[in-house]
Amino acid sequence: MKVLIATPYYLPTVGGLETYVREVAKGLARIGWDVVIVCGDRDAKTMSSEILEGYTLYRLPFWLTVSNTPLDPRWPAMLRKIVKFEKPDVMNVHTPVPSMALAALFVPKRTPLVVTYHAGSMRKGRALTDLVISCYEATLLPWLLNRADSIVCASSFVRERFLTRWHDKSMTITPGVDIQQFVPTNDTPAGKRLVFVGDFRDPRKGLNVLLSAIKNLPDVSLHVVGEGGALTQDQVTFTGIKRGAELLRELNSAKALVLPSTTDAEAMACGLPVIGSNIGGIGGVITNGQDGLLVPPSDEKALESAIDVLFSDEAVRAQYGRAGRRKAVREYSWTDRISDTARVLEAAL
Amino acid sequence: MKIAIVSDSIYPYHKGGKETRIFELSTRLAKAGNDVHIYTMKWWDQPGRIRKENGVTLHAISRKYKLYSGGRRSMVQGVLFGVACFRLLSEPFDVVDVDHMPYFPLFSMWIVCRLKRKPMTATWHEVWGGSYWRDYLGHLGFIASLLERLTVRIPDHIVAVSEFTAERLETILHSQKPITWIENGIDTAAIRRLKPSKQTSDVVFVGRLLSHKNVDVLIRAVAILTRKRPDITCLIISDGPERPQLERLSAKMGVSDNIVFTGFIEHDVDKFRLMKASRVFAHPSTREGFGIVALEALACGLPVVTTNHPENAARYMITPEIGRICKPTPQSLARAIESVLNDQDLRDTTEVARSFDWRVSARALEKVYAR
Repeated sequence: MKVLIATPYYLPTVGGLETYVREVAKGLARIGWDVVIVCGDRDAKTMSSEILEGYTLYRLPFWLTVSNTPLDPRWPAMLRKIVKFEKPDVMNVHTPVPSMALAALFVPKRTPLVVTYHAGSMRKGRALTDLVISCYEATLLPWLLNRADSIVCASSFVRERFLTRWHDKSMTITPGVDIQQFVPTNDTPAGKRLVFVGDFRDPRKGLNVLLSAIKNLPDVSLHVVGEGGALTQDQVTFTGIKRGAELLRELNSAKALVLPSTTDAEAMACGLPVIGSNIGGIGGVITNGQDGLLVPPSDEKALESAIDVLFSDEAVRAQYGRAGRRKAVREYSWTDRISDTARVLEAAL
Repeated sequence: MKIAIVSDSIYPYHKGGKETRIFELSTRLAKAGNDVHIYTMKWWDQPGRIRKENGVTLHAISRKYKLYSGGRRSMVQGVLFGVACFRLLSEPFDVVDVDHMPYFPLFSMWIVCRLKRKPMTATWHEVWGGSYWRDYLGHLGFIASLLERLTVRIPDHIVAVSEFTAERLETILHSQKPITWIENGIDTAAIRRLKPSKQTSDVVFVGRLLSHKNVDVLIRAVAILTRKRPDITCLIISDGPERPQLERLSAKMGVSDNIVFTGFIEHDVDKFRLMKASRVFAHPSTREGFGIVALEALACGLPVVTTNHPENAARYMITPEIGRICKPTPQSLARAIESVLNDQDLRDTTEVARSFDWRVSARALEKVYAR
């Protein structure tokens, strides 16, 4: 079985979409699929091909980028050429960045199409850009989604709220965790270090609640991983954005993760208990009193005592960590997600 | 360092000694941290003019023209590929290494390098000279040999693949440019890992059975050796048009029981196993450009007996510690084989082979480029 995966960006650019595509490509190749990836590359001058990690990768050059969207009128012809040569059984296009999706519309209809949709609306709050995006989302996007044989959503939010019209032919496959990379260390880190991962400029993440909570716990230190300017407070270190091995190191030298956004599954895979607010999707990841603690949002006192509970009883902390690792392996490994993806692709034939 | 290599034919799309050399060296240069680009014809079928393989970037500067027409290198292909080399005008590079075949690229690359003010290195695999060219091409051979003489004046630095080629560049083509000879290598580690075959022998020969390989001399030498050593065994590996005559000869000399013709052996590994189960490598050839089999024999731990013929490049590798050089006559060859079989003071030949390491050659080449 041969699949052609089209994505606007790929390695060496890093990001959620790139990681998702790479895991799917590696995973499908491992279970015997023939995988071809086509991506845009801002450094490419001409179309190139290479063999990487068991799959073929084509890089396409492009002329300009508008609002993170690579644009080049030659892409449809290039993609057609590659499809003609590689003869994939099925095509998998990754969006919302529309460039590859548009190019895919020019590929003859006999190749089945599966669209993977990563985020909700691309609207950004800038008038002109939003106008263009609204036009796209009202015209070309429905055309693409109607043409698609099935749709994979990277989160249930996308499926339930944004792509409601296509609910019948869509399914959710959330990104997994690389449970081979994110593993617990053998030795317990010294000290009482907490780690927070996420874009903390966003007030909804509640870093300020955490900062005031730890003021009363003087021997607790906090590493803040993510984008945003440095704040000054004793006990706190800002590390900037970390991914992969660097993120692993940050997680493994801390004793617990607090108020997470999307890193909870990674932290659990590392055997870290997670403290989160009982809000949104977080409640679905943490089981209170088993692999972490849930506190009411914006409640400094509750957060403070939760941190205190974990740090005062090492046995409880270790037990939560082990339970978290088990859950990550059971529910967040890529293996099941790869077989789900393979099933969707096969069904499209 | 950004290294550009210009060669119209590449491994694994076209297999030969030259292609293997470029492959082994370019991948090692890339591994050492260089940005290596090979400019060639579009050998691959995948769309796109660029292809990355084993850390090296391949650029198609022309479509795939036929290399041979009527059994000979095509002149048209040479000219077209030569013109295509002007594409390197828009390519950034620190040094360029141009394959001397098919000569025309050297002219266009000379212009490219002058305009870009970059040093130009050329790699010479073999020197043919006037008489050989006349045999190969007839009247046109005169023009070709003139081209050959002209092109040695173009590069700033010449890399010869053997001391033999380096010598001929000076004596036959009268090259005035600095010449560095950087030999081919061999993967000694891979050979060392192989288990010797169960089929043991005293003497082994490897090569196509062609008249200039002088296998008849070896058979006669074995006949002489049987007087002292009636049980001596000699393995003749590979095949060729001379085989029936050679088999008749060995029957006539009464050594059919001593000599075994293995026929063509498909996998190198099996060939190396048989060599490792032998004691001396007989290499009576009178014409070798580099003599890669002699090197393979050393890597298999065999002392090598070869001839002192002027067109045999293999003789440059052999010293009394690792073999013998003899005249291409049965008596001389028999004496040399006997002497090696009795010699207790031979060095470990694999050590010598190890100095013909692709890694060593790649480092030497890197030094030439860095100049």
